[in-house]
Amino acid sequence: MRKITLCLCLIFSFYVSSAQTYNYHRFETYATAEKACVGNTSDAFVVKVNLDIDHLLNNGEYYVIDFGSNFNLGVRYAKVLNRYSGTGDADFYLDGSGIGSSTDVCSLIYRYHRFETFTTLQKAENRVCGTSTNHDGIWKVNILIDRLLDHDEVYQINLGGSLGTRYCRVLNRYNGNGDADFSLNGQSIGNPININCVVDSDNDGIPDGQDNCPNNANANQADMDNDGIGNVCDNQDNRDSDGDGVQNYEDNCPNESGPASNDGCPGEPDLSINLNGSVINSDCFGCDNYFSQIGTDRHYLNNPSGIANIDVLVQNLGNATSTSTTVGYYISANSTFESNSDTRIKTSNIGSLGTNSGDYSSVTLFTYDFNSVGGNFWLLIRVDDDDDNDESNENNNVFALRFAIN
Amino acid sequence: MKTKSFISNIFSISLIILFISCSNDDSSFDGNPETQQSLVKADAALIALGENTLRDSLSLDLVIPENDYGLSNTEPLLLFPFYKSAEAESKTWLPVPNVQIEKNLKTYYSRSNGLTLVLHAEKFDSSMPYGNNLKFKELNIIAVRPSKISGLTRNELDVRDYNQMIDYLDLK
Repeated sequence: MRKITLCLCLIFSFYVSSAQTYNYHRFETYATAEKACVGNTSDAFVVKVNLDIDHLLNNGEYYVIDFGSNFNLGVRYAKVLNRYSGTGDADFYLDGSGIGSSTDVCSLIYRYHRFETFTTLQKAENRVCGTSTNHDGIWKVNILIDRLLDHDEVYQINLGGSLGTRYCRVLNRYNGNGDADFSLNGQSIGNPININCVVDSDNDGIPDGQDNCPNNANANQADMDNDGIGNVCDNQDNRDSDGDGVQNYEDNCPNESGPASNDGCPGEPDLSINLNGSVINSDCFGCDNYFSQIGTDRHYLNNPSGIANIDVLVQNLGNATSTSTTVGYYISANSTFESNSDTRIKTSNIGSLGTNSGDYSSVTLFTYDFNSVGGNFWLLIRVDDDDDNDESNENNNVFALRFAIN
Repeated sequence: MKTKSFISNIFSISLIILFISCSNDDSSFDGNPETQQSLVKADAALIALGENTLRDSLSLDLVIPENDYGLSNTEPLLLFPFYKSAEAESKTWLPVPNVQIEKNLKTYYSRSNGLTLVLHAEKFDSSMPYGNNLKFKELNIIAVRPSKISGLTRNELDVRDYNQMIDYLDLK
């Protein structure tokens, strides 16, 4: 009986040992084919695995292995470092039945690039910035690299051989191999070169981006009105030299203060009598009272108690404010004002008037004011009688009406 | 007796209060009741200034109150002052300017800055100040847009006649 039991145990032991053939493997694993191809051990994660597999994997070769959740590795590119039949100090056990043949990881990751190459950076800059169409040859290269280089950017690359280090502008590229002229390991290719296209259209030494007049040479960048536009191409002087609020380019008198309404020049008032608003009320009952309607009517005073009240609407038609002045009332032999011969009998005051404004100046004439003058004569009414204002028109200051003392 | 007198006084005071409250019941007047009362109609305004005294000169700053007619303080307006003398019981409105030879008096007005009106009183036969108080029981100013009375002779509208002006301008 004991022999039978021993025999069964040997048979079971043999069965078990023949059903699970564990082989110890130590792998250097990489997350990507690129890293595996480059083989930088700093990117590697080393694991020791007892593989349920009926043969040993080839030493030094790469396999694509799904490590599952072990160490969260998942599918990795694994290089066999060493191995032997049986179990060892493995990190974990794994069913390795799905492991295929070894693979050339590098063949998976070449990337095709077509370059326009330049022997100097200046040539590359000229080409990129559009000032030259020349180059030093177009080359097609499969590059061992973990990324595609950026289109249209320039990289400094050692192409090897007689080409040496060149500035390479990427014309087109895609993952995989193409009809490349040669292959190279591009893991040392750095970032693209920053090329600032300095354009100086007027060749004055100031790049267009900084030139206040990019199409007209002005190396001194003079800008008298500080508006960011250089003098040589600035037809608008935005200064206000006289501080009148009118910029020089719109100011006909840039060095004399004046309102915008007069194109920046010192304006002049123009005082006159508004005939439609000016009125005389005398002792005449049949006379029209408004200056615009009097015509040939003769207003008069009855001696001795007559009264003639005159309200003169003085208006300023000029483009500058007038100063205070007077309205003069004259006895005249005719309707034309003559300072030498006409006699002023009274004045009334009128204050300062803004442009296009008016105000009344009133006076009452009594017989006493005419100083014994009688009969018919002309009564002249004259604004700005003391010539306090330099007017743009001095010829519209007088209104004449027929008058009498009866 | 004292009680009778007291009742009589109370009755009198009540009558006065009633009279005052009814005597000026013209709702069309507005403005500052302490200085001016104004009635504004289309193109004209009547400004009532009440009692005043003119001694040589009297300056008046007139104000046209806000109104529905667009009449404003900033537009050129003709001004016609009229007064009732406090000396007599006369109900006559006298115009300014006027002449009263028997009193050796002439009155007139001058203007400045829009609606500032200055009344003057001088001796009739000279430019010397009148020298006496000229007391007004009432002083009214009529302000008119020039266009409102354009084209009229004194035969058609005598601007020295207060009642004609009031009627013509509908300032009642």
